[in-house]
Amino acid sequence: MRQYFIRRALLVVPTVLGVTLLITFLLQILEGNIADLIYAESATFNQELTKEQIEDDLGVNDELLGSRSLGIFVQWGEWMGGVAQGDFGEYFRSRRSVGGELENRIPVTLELAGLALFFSLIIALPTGVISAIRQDTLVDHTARSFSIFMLALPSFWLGTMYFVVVGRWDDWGLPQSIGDWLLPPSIYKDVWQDPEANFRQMWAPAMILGFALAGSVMRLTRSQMLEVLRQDYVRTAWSKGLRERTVVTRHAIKNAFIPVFSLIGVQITILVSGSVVLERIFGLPGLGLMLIEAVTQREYVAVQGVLLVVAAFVVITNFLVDMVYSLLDPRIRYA
Amino acid sequence: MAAESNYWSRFWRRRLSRRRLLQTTAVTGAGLAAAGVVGCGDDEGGGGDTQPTATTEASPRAGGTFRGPLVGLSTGNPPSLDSQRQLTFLAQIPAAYHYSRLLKFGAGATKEVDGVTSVQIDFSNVEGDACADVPEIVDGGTVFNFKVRDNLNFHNVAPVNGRAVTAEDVKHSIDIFAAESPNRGNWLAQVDKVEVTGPKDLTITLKNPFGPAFQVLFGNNDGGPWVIPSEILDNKDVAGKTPIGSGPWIFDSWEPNVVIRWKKNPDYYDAPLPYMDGFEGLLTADPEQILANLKNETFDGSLWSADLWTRGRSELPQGQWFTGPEHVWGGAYFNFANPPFNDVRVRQALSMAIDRPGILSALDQPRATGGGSGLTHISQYDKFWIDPINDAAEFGPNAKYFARDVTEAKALLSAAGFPDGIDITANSSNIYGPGFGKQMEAVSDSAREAGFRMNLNLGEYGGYLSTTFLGDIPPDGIGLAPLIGSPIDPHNIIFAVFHPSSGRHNWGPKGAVPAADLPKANDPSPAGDADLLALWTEQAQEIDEEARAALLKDVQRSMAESMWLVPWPGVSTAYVYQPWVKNIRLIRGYGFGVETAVNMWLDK
Amino acid sequence: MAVREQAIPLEAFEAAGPPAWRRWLAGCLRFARRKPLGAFGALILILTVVVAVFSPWIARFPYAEPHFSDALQSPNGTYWFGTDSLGHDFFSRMVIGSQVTVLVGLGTVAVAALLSVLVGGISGYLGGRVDMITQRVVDVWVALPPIFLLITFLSVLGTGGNGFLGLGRGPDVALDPKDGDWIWYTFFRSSVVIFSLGIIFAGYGARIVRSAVLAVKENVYMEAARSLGASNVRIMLRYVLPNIMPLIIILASVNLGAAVLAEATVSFLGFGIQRPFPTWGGLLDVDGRVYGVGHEWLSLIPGLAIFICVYAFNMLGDALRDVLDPRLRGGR
Repeated sequence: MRQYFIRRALLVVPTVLGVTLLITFLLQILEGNIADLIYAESATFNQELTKEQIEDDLGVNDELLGSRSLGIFVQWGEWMGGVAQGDFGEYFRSRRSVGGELENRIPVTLELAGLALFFSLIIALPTGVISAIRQDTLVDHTARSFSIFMLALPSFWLGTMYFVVVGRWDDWGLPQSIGDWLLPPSIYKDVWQDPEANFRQMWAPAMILGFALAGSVMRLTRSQMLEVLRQDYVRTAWSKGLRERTVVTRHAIKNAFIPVFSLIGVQITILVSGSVVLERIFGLPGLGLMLIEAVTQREYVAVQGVLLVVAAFVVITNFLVDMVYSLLDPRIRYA
Repeated sequence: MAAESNYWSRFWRRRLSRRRLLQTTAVTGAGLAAAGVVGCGDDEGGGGDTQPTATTEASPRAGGTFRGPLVGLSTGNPPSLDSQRQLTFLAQIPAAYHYSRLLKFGAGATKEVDGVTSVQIDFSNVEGDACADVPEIVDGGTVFNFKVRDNLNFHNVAPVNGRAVTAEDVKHSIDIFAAESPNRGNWLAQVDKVEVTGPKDLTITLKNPFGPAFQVLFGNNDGGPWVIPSEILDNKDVAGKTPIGSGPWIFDSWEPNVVIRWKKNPDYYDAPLPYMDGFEGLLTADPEQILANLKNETFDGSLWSADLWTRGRSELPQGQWFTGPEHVWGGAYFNFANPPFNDVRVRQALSMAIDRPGILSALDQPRATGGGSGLTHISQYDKFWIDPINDAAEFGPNAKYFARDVTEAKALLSAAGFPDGIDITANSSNIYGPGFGKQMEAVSDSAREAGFRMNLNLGEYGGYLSTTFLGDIPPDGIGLAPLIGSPIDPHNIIFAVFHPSSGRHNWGPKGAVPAADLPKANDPSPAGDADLLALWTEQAQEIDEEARAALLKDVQRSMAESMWLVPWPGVSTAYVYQPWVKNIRLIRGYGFGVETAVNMWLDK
Repeated sequence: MAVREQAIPLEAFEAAGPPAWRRWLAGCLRFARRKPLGAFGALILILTVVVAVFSPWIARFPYAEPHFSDALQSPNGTYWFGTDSLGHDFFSRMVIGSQVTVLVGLGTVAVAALLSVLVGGISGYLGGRVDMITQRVVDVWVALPPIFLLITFLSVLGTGGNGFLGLGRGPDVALDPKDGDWIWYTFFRSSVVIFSLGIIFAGYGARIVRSAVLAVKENVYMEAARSLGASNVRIMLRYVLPNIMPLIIILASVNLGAAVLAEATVSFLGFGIQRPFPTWGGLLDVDGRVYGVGHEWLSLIPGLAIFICVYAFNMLGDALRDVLDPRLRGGR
């Protein structure tokens, strides 16, 4: 068991490091004249200092053994060195700290993702179970169609429609007070500062995101449930004359949910991805919006920071999920 | 000599005559308020309109925080708050809140558009801002003696801690501006030297008499010079993040992409202004969100878009909706180093291919351009502009270049060597919001019929600003943009966009061409247009308004033929305020923070 | 049983049954009967492709032709889907927009399939150190959320009219040959998106292909082939590939819906194919969001189109999965 744990843990670090290398490569190789663009746009005429500083920050001129390509490793090394000390660099123009910005944004995205996960689970798990135990009935078919329905509905469309509906709320003669509550506050409030305002801002995007996720979780739950229900021990339970409810809850669910749990690891990626669009529509200052802003303003140091944080989060979550999964399912450990 | 200086003194006094008139009428603060006049509490006695407005308003109440989008319908997070060194409008708009400049502008006459009465800021109503008053002019209109206000202090925040503003501070700001600002072109072209002649005395000497000196140099709110303490200005780290000045609002916080917050400056020289306690300028602005927030009463007002006018009014009937002719001049600009746009026939063809009336009919819902073509500029400067479509007779034969004539456009293109039309890339940015995006799309669509097949490329702002905007446009490309966002006088519009000495001119080569090198012979760009450049200089130095208007009209006629810029029609501006927002002075441009926000109060 | 004295000529056998196309058609009909939803999905796919390919003829007006005086009309006889704020015919825009949907959808799927087979197949087949290293690379590959990676790619590479992959070769995408763009030009315009998305999706596919190849490797006939002296390449092509073909098809059909959704998302955000060339996601962003209230058709129609396509493609993927690989079924 411990061996497995250690083996997997040892994989986390190189993966994250690999990601950082990939990011560095991406930004260095693909666009050669970032420094020029940023410098010109910064519009200060104090030429020497600023352009150099930009090039330093980007590592455009680093060379290793006289080679520019190897120089990328130098840049990477410097960046990682800074990160190890908690310094994610600065924005070129305003010289704000990227790390500070990340600190403010991470909780927002985390909260959105967490809430979305919660919503998706409370929709998907019961639906999947019921669909399985009533296999091939109308309930099953409806649920399955609905799950694909949820998958296919574009989250940005739902988000736009939300605002259209809220905008038209009064015109349609619906109760005013509910309409007021539905409109998210314009300035983001932390959950510690103002839980009610925060919930009003978060619930709709989280619900929409959760919806999109629920589709695939439901399908997996259903198929796992079906497989478990075919198992011998379940049949034994039936033959003992136990009620359906007991069979399902006491024996089947636990085993069915384990692979679902591992699916969460994959879904994290989708959750974080999906948050980009919803943050944009609902104006939540999270990582997705930070990426869009940074990319739009060519603040590549910030882009690096965001990608690193997200990748690390995904990798670590997957690792944790794998660990818990192996704890729950002994068969995996010895594979 | 004496006679000449008398002439100049008389001239300047005439320019400010209305203001002087107001000063002599004995009006007290309370009286002004009771008469429903704006600008209550102004010690100078100026800046108000003595004509009573249609509605009598209650006396102003202090308190409250204004919340609304800072930039209107463009989503824009400023890259930095260093207004003295930044080009982008996103960094200039916040400046007026916390920085002073030498002069500012007061309210003008009440206007009525579509049954709605409004008060506009009048750019000829000049007031002192950092300086106590309009400067004393000597020496034939080239030497200006400013006196910095006695009770003007920087904000009571570390590290300046409320110290008084001296002439040295102002000079230092100006020096940095003249050395590092991308907007310094005009200043350098006109200003000879700046000297401190006393602790509160500043003298600015111009190279030549310059008619719009107050508007374009000393009161300029697009780029400055702003009065910034050296503790902030010299430290680029701080200048970009924590601006401290002497303006009516104290910078409180900046949450990138969310909001910039200001608190009232209790030591503002114009106490009891500002009335409101705080100002929150939201940075992410989406028409849906804005409308929803207005309906929900969480926003107090916003700039609005002409193509959403009908919808806005129907969904928020209780709001105060204002409209007026657009002040932002936009058009297609070119890199004259490359074919095909170094050929004037191609540019003329482009202008004749655009369906300007059609664009207006689709996108200009308020039609506050007053039936105009959208090609003249700023309502209060009507006298300087002639409408090539509606006043074609007065404009002259060159007016034909503004009328849509697809056949003629094709003929011109053919003559220039493109019988089958031409494929071009139109470069711009999506930063300007959906309204301008639609206008650009309309331009590119309507030009297609005449053979201009435009591939519209709305890129991200940073890339656009560092390439296209500075004239780095590849062959077969044009740039499209709303070019000036805060035009106060025709001079700073046309100068900034065209004049080769402007650091901002939107065509290659990058960087200002020193005036001594102009005109350049055989240059396909405006730098080679000797006649235009001469007209230009003449109008800048012409003090008499009538004569200057005639010269500016000639400038327009000349530019209509040379088409150095192909303008598209400006659609109407629109603003909306909640019913409880009082004492609104409409200003288009970047002076909102001091000219308008200071005087507003919230009746709730 | 008597032994035949004469060999039966091969032609006789082959001529015996119904012709191949007839058999194939019968197979399709069977599929349609058993999996009606899947058939629906296939139908939508075919329909979309047909519309996309013939879009210059199906569109009733050029997509960029403004009719300023007819702006913001609701659907009527002249403008079947109404008009947008500049008077463009919305129907024509949706039809031309389908080009991007189809190209990016199918293109991504093709690129992803090719890449994941190459990477996963070779890695799984060769095993050992190559496999280990490739595995780590793939781990890194999939660690970043697709949209994040896509946005970064697109902003760095740009999707302006710079020819194939932004490299400046190929037909100039500013070309507008007739009234409307032929799908070939749209391909160049969307090449960057296709390849970016394809590369990103390939990461996930590579893992799945690899495990399938690992399973196939265990088969006895593989050992037999090796002992007969078949080269690695031959074995991979003749034995491994046909066995994982069903898996590839399933992966492709699953990716199709995801690709369409990803492209729409990225266009909605303003990256991806640039205005004014119509894409369904772009139309939803520019027209649907801004003019949506009061002109609901502008947001309903693109959203509905995206939704129907993604739903249909997912149903198709599901049905194919059920038919081709019972082990992977989501349950009978």
